[in-house]
Amino acid sequence: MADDKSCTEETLYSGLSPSIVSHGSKLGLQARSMRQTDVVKSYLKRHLPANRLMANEDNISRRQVHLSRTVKKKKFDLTSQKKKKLTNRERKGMKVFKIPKENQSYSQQLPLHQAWKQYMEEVIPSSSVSSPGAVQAACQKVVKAELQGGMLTVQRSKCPSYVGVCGIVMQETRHTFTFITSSDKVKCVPKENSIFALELHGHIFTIHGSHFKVKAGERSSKKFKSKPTTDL
Amino acid sequence: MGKSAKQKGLGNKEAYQRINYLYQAAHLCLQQSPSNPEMCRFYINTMRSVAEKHVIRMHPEIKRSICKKCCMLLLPGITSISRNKKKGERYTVVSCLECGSVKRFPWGKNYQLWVEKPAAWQPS
Ligand SMILES: [Zn+2]
Repeated sequence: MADDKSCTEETLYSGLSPSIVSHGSKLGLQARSMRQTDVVKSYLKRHLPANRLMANEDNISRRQVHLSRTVKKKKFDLTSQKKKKLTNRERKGMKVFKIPKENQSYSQQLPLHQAWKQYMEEVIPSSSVSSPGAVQAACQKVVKAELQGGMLTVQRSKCPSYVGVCGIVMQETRHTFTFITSSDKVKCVPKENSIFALELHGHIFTIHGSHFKVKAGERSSKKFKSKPTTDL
Repeated sequence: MGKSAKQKGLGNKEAYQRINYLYQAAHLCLQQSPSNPEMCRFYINTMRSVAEKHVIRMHPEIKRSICKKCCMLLLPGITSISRNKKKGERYTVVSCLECGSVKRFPWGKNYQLWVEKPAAWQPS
C-alpha cells in the first residue's frame, strides 16, 4: 500500500515549476479555476449507466473506472467512425445542442455576460456612439455582432405572455432565442412576431424578430435590406 | 493589390472579433458548468459556421482543440485524452471523451503546418 500513499492528489496534480509560474504571472495569466472533482462527477454522471452510479454516488473518488471501457451511448456508435463529421439532421437527432431546462442557474451565466460586454465594447466603443450619424453605423454593426451572452428584453410580441421577458441569451437559432431569466428559468421565445430591445452604452436598439430570421453563424455575412416596419 | 488585401482584412475584422469571443465563451461555459456541455458545443458550432461563411482559416491551435464530430472543446485531461504513439512515425492521438472520435497529429521532422511556412505571412 506504499504506492497508494505516494500517489495522493498532491503528487498527481502537482503545480507547475516555479519558473513557469513566475513567467506566467509576468504575462498576467490566470489559472483556470476548474475543480477536478466537479468535472469528474459530472462526466461520470453522464456516461455511467444509471444503476451503477446510484449504488454508491457518495464515494465516486474510491471507484476505479476505466474511462475507455465505460458503456458508450448507442447514439454515438463507434462503427460510424469512418464518417467523421455529422450531418445537421444527425446532430438534431442526437440532441447535441439541446440545453436541458433543469439545473440552469442565472449566476453561472453572469461571467459570460461580462465577457460579452467586453466584446461589445471592442466592436462598438462607447465613445463612438455620441452623434446620431454614428448611431446609424452602430446599428449596422449590432446586426452583425454576436448576441449570445447579451441581455435582451422582449419589448412587444403577438403573444402577450412573452412581453417583458428579460434575460441573458444562451442560444440563438434560426427561429428562436433561448433566454435564461434572473429567476433561473429557461425560456424559448420565437423571433417571429416579436420585437426585442438591446441596451448598449445608454442607447436602446430595437430588433425586429420577423426580419431577423437567420442562423446565428450566417447572420454576419448576410445583407440586411431595410423593410417597412410591421405592425403587431 | 496590397491595398485591396488591406481593405479585405479590415472588412473581416468583425468576424475575427466574433470568433475570438465565441472561443472564449465556450471556454467560460465549460468552466462554469461542466455538467452541460451543450452550450459549449453550440458556441463552437457557431464559431465554425462564422469562419466557414467568411472563408477564414482558423489557427491550428484553435482547430486542433475542437472535436470534429461533436463540436466539443478538447482540453487534455478534462474532455480528452492525449497519448503519444509510434508506428513508424511518431504521432499524438487525441481522443474525445464525449463521443470517442480520434484525432492524430504527426510530428515528424519534415512535418510542417501552413502557419509555420513563411509564405503564409506574406501579403498576397
Ligand atoms: Zn467528440
